[in-house]
Amino acid sequence: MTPYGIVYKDNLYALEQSCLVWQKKFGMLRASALIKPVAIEILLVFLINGALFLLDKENGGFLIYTSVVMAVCFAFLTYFTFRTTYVRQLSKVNMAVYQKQAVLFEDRIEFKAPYSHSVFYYDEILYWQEAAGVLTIIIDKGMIPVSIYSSGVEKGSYDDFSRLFKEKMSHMGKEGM
Amino acid sequence: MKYFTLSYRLTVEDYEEYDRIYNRDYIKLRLKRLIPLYIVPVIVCAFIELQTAIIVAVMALFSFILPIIGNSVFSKQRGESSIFRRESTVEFYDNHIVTRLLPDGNFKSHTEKHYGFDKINRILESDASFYFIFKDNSLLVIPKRVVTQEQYTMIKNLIENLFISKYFYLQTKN
Repeated sequence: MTPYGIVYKDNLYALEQSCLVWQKKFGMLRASALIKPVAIEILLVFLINGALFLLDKENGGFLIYTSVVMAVCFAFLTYFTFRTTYVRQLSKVNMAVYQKQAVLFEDRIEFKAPYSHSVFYYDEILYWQEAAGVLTIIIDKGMIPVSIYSSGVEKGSYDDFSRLFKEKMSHMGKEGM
Repeated sequence: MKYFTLSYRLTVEDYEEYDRIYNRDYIKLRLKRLIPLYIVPVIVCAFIELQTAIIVAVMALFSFILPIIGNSVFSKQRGESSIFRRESTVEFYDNHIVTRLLPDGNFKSHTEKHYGFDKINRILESDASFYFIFKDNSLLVIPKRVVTQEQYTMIKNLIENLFISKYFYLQTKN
């Protein structure tokens, strides 16, 4: 295979989207990671409610629908706190905007920036996804994913790059979303 | 000019200490902010209606503990990273640092990063490690267990000569 490369610039929107994909797949936005804090919150609401009711059976405790509304609100609060605070924070970790080069080879993809050089082999890529013009490549559960934004491509064709990458991953049996 | 090279494998514990100190400082900061933000409304509400005061108090508690839960979830996720199963090297030069995550028998993929000294935002030191925080918010952990006395002196000299205003010693115990 003839190596195919593009030159692109990082973009905060693309980084956030990629971090969202990463966290939904492997991190705090997974349903299994959200269940625990939400369950604690709901339990706490109902325990406080029960205790208030026992203290004053006439006037104590919230109405049941108030408790349910509170529980739902806290579940959303948890999700959006994780989503906005953490995902944004995580994406900022990689926020320095440089012009980068991404090159597809026969067995690997290479990323070159003025101060970094990464080589990722296709068979070691954990997950990839393309959505809303952002190609997300997750190489490690604990590392910020790589994101390539279609509008950020300055040299070469994003569509050709994306197609070739998908072909490679498909060949490896690693279907993305 | 190259000063020295460190070669080591990070452990989850190397990050745990940083997380513990970070969480402790975060709790202190949140407590300072929580008092005017939540305690005053809770007291005011308590005079009007007990239930409302309790709702506000529970909200305060949640907004306080959620980020801590978030940190612990992220720490757990980071613990699954391949960096803990691979060798890293850090090279100190007179004006920059080069970090490498090396390939090994299990992982062929590898990365290399060059950080100029002007990219250093903060340098933290604890009893167990040095933490270099760069302007892009990435964190370089150098456990003291992998540093010789001579290398330790060189790092300390570097900090004293160039980064004294960016340096903090983290107290492990309160």
